[in-house]
Amino acid sequence: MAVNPKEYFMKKTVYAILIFCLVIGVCLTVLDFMSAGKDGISVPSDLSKVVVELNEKARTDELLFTRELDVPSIVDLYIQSDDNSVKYIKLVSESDILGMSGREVSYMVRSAEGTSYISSSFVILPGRYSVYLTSEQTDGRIAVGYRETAMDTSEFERLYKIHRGDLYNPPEGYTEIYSVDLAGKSCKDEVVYTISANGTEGIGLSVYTYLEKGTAWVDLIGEAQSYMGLGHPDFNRICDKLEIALQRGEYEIRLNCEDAEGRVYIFLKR
Amino acid sequence: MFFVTAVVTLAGSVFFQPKLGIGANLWINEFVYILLPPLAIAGAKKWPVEDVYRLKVTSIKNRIISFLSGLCMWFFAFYLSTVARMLLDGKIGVLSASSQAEPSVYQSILLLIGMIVLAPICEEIFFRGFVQKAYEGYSGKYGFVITGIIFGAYHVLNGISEVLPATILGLGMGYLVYKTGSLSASMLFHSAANMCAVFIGGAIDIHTVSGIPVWLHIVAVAGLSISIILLTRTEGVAESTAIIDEENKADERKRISGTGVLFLILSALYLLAVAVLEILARMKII
Repeated sequence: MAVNPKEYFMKKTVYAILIFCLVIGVCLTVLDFMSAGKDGISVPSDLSKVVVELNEKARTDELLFTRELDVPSIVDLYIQSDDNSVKYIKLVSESDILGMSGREVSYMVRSAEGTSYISSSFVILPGRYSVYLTSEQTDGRIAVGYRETAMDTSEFERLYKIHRGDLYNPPEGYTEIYSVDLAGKSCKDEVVYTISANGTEGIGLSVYTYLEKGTAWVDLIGEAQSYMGLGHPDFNRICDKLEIALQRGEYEIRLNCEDAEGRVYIFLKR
Repeated sequence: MFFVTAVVTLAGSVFFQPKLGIGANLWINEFVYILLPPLAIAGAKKWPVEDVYRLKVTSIKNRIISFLSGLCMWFFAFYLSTVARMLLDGKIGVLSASSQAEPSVYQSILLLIGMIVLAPICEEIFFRGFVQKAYEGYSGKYGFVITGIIFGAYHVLNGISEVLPATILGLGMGYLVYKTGSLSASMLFHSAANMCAVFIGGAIDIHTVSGIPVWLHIVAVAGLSISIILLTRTEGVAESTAIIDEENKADERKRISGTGVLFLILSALYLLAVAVLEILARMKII
């Protein structure tokens, strides 16, 4: 039987693509290994990064970089290090950071490489922010990755209102389940709301806290004493649109406060 | 051979993925476990792969139809996958997210080429070229149905929610090969579907809380309908379907061997075990 040349064409084309893929694949894998070996630590490629050799000298609040934000932006910070000594990374902003009482946040970093890393996201108002490093002289590196994304104007306005104390600004689809004027109140693990999940259920939670003095925070506690902090009195007063998959069971939202002046609002989406 | 491929794919992934990365692991799966066995068997038995695995070109019309059909059917497959995932999350439990570092740029390129170019070629040679051809020997024109189910079951390795969508896509690709007698049609279909998965699937983020948006119901039904209409418009190669029917008639007593049945049962049990493990993980038992 005569063989149609087109049939050979298909076979040749497929084999050519496969050989091409094989060569490309080997090259990319080698490049990947080389780049991993060079960095030791791998910051995601879509983040800008600063890598510091720790063996050069000891550092105290040495400036790593300064950035200027023209518009309200989400700043993602990603930290990795291949050295286990204690180091501190400090972010200092000249303008407000939404959900925070101060304009400074500090991280203690030890070894965090491979799949482990420290990451945080902040919404920072227009202005300058800087990142500093404190470390001893030691072998190893620390990498700080950062990314700035301009924030949606309407979403920013909503969160900014909350930041300034106008807490009744829930996201679309969320309903209020609890609110309180703290007014010098003190409480410990006070159950303010109970969620019953009949099966595995996805919920959304928004917890907003505004404090003029004292301290207050909200936790979500499950039957098996599973615990989730829904904010922090100093560093995370705006817990917005937190989506959680609850297993079957009862969950309590508990309020803790001490000599607090301010308000707490909790919104739920089911 | 399917049993061995299914076992080594999982074992290989567990071993190589953490060491080499997700992209390089995909290439090993495709080249070593999926492509190599059918090519090695063809080489050893001196089979002409153009005929046995149907590595033949098809008409331009068929190629365009195959590509478009793959694009459209992906939306239905994505819909099924989303519904299945939500049902599993809701009724059984949610899988704990594994904390994996983001792939490097090289791994991302490997993954991209692997899904759009390599997987369609290698998996089509294995499933439609090798497995479907074998089952056409036993069940004639229904070989593509059995292969579609096997293709779907194999995807339990990607999660239970992927079984039904992969089966639907597998049936579409199997039908194309049965009708056109060419792997190029199913390769284009496969590539189009994977292209959608990479570029559209990654962009659509549907959570259990927000539920399935109305547009996805509409797009899924429209996608399936258009895809089926397109598939019925493919130009059949009389030679292709006739050969299958003829072979079937000429060898009516051809039955699957005892060893074949044994390995088919082993494959089913193995894939079932993988599914059970996922369920136990969802129930937080393991």
